[in-house]
Amino acid sequence: MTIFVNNNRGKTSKKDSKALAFLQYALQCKSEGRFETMLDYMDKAFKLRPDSNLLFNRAKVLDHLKEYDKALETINRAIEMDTNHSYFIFRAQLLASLHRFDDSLNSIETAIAIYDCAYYQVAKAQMMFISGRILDGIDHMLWIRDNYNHLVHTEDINFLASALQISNTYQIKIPQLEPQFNDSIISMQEPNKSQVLRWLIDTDLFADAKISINPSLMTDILSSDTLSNQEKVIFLGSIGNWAQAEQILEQHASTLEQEFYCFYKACIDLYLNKRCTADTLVDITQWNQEAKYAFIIKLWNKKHYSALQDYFELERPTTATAKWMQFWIAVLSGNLSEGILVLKEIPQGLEEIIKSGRKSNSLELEAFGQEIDVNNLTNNLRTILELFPFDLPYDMLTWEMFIKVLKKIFPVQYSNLIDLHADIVERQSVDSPTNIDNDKYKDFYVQSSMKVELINDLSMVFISGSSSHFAVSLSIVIGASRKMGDKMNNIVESSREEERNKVLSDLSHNIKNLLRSVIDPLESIKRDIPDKMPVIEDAIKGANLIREMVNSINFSYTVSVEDLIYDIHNPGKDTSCISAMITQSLRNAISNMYDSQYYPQFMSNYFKDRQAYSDSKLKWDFIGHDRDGSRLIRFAEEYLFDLTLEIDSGSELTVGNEKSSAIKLTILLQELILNAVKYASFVPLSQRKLQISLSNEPDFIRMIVSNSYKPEVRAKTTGLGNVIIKNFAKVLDCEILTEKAANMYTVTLNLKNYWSNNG
Amino acid sequence: MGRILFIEDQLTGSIPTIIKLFSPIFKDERTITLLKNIQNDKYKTPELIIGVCSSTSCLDICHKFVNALSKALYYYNEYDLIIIDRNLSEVPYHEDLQDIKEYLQKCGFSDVDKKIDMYTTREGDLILLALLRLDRNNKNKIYYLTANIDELKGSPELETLIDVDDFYRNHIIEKTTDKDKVLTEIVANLESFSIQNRFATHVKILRNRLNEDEVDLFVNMIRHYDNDSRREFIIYLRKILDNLMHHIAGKMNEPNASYWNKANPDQLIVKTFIKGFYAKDNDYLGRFSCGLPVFDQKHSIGYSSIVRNACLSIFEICSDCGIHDLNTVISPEGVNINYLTEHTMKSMLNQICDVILWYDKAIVNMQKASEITHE
Repeated sequence: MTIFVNNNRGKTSKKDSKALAFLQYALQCKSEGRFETMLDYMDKAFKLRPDSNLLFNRAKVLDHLKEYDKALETINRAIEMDTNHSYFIFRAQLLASLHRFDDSLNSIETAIAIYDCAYYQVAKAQMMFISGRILDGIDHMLWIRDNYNHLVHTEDINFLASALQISNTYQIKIPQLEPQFNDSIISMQEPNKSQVLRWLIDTDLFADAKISINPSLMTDILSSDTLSNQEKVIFLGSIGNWAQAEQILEQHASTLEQEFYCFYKACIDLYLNKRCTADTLVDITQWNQEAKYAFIIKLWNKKHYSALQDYFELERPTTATAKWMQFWIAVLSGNLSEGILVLKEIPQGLEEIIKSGRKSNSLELEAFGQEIDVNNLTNNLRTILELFPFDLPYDMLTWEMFIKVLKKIFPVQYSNLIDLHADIVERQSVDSPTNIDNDKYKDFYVQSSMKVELINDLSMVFISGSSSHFAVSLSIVIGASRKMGDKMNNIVESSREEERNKVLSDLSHNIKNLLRSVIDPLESIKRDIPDKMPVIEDAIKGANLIREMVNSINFSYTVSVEDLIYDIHNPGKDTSCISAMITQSLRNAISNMYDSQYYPQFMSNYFKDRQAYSDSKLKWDFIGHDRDGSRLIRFAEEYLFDLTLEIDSGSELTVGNEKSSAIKLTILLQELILNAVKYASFVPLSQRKLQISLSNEPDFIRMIVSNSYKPEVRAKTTGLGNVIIKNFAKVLDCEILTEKAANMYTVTLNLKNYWSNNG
Repeated sequence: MGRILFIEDQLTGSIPTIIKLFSPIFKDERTITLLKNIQNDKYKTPELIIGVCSSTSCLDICHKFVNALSKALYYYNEYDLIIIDRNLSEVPYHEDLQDIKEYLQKCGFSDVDKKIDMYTTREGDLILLALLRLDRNNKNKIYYLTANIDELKGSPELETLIDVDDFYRNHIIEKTTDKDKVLTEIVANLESFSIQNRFATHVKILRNRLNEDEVDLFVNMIRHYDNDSRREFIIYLRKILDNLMHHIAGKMNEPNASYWNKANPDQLIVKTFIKGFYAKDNDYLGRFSCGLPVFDQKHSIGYSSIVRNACLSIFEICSDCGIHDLNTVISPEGVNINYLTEHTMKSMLNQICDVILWYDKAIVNMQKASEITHE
């Protein structure tokens, strides 16, 4: 608050001198915080020299003392003397403080009529939002966006900061805002520039408006002599540049306040290293309440639940915010009984949380008074969203707990209403049909749908309730509905997937049996009618292919880690090593490339004409069953691709087949290698590469299959190979990573090393 | 002989299907033998199969998406049957994208890049949509093959086409031995299939109002017209006219009318029935004594002078050619076609087509009139 002393009349009369003296006394009182006396002096000065500006200042003092009625009366008198646009804007602020939103908006309109500047236009939009006319506010912001180039004084930092914050909140992109904001600050002169920057940092606007700071402004701020290192660290933290914040923090560690240093050190550790050590948690207990609150909110936002849990063991939560966190952490860890105990201790309603929310940093508050309930909409929403993010585990609460949580969140007068609706929902759910047959999921689904139903029933009541609960209701209604909706979808999907897998598994088993009754007669016909041998062989090959596919599907559903471990430790007679499986899979894949019936495209990619096919086939028939890997490599290089095989380490990794593990692993490897051989075919011979490597690491067996490919080619596929690979990967808990470089496609398979003790 | 366009990407695996489907149109056994030889060959390529099948001018095979699209676009009118496989991705077409885009644009598609991407592994959908866009009547001659008919449930475009009657659900065939029988039958009777598509409306009327025998008569009549077998054409023409008149006379339910033969009450005196005759020879008021003209005056069944003259024209010309009584066996040799010119033939065909169209409407009107009477 500044008191302006008008002294523009050249000569000062006696009265003026006296008035000036009273004003000096008033200023003196202001500095001493004696506002009542200050007002007396101001009145005396006014009597001697009536001045609208003096009334304006008097109104400001009254506003500061929260005497809005008196302030309004004073500013009205000022307006009677002088229809100054800034008086109307101040009047609008006072009217808003008195919840007279329509009058406030009219006052802004009058200010605009007198002086149409960009800041007043954005103030009009702000007032619309504050008075609940959200759509009108958005419309007006869109009007500002469309008429931006015709607005007056868009360089005004008040306008830019307010507009940026609103445009960010309501997702209205105004392209000129950010560059102008940056340029406007850069072009400011000292000391104004530092004042503005300090104000922006203090109000956390850089974070809230999510402004991209251009490099020149960044340099300006960081090299500023007038901004303290502390302010620079706060600034860097607010824009999320933690690496640079760390540099300054460490560079000036000795000169910074200890508590400030510790707080930011912990933040940097949290954001950069994604951790919060036990020592930090102990430190936090020593911090002041504000710092504690700010940090646990950060831990909560970053979902460091175990750290929070540890912290709450060091220091029992006392605030409502901390208790809510403790409650949700108990729910997340499945400890519902502890959750119930914590819930009992949480104070009713969210008033305390809203009050404890961080200080106002929004310009609208500065402009329109801090005590207005509705004014705090954005701030409330932010505080509540921080504590009640949309992904809270509403689904993990029992039906009874869910009702208790709702009753705890909302004011006590809602309790009966919540009970009433819960009762109705419960009764209705008995008769409502579900589309879930699986008993395992049915109860869960019913309970989830009851929760959604209850939230839907109550949402209108909550949202249309008190304005301070609007944000809370909105957050919880959206969060709970979304979470429960997702959960219900998941239940439906899981249930269906399980059903589908069972059908697939059963079906593949049946097909396998049926195929035997096809293949056996075909074999005997082949012997009886030698003339038809090629045709019958093709048919048998086709039937065998189907059998292999069905086998693969079947195995991919029946494979288990336990079986694999058993076969590794009990190799028996029928044992194979991983390297042998890889070479066998490679041989099979290459053999398939000679099959024009089932792999015609790949065959014609590899062998451009009959001659090339015959030459290569002749050699392949000769070495196809050869165990010598070097000959395989030479053959591949001559006819197929540049082959690199680094699989020696796999010779030590043997697997038995008592529980079919050897076959199952071969199927998995075969799928991977066949894919590579198929897709490499589209690349010209001179550029074709296939690399297979296997490394035996203490924790993992890593197999890398890398092949050249043409990214633009999409070959015909049933997608079955992928299903099989994914199923195997899921059940064997192995990780499959794919990487597409310009010309190489790489699949990495990380299988736990069940052969080593680590595995 | 009709022509077929067969679009299938996995030709090397489809030789038995090709033999099964198209044997009736292969001119000689040699084609089948050659196809079987390819089947037994380890190195079989689509080109070899296409080469062998090209010995018959009736069958065009495309195994590449781009070729299929261009054939469909430029020559669809030349085919009587188009069989499209849904998934055409066996032969990669990344190098043909530019041509594919141009073809699709020519068919009036926009946003073709997105379309090509969207329709990967169901390229046949795009060809089908293009063909229907070019001519809605193409729906009659297209048969659509898919490995799994259930997958079509995920294709809203096809469902919409079927819903708005731009395509037929029963023209989507699953590739299984029992279900593709319908194609074998169509190929075996390709000429009839082609005629039925050319005269789809007339065939539909005959099928719905009369029976398959009547459809066969009509198909045979057109076949003789196409082959310029004038004697046979004129016999079938007269038979169809007689049958239509008998049917409509029966519907009129006037058993004692003078257009029924007194000696044989089931026999219609066609000329009397068509012409109606004036009450008196010189009745200047033009009042008819019986038959269709009288019935039309009472019930407005659309028996205009055009239809009356068409019926009379057919009747008289057939009569001039020597066809008087259909109760006696007529041998084609006995039919005199000396005065039948190419133009008369054309005129006869157009007239009978007009009569069939009128006949359909007349039956509707008569049903309406009957409903009103009952009310």
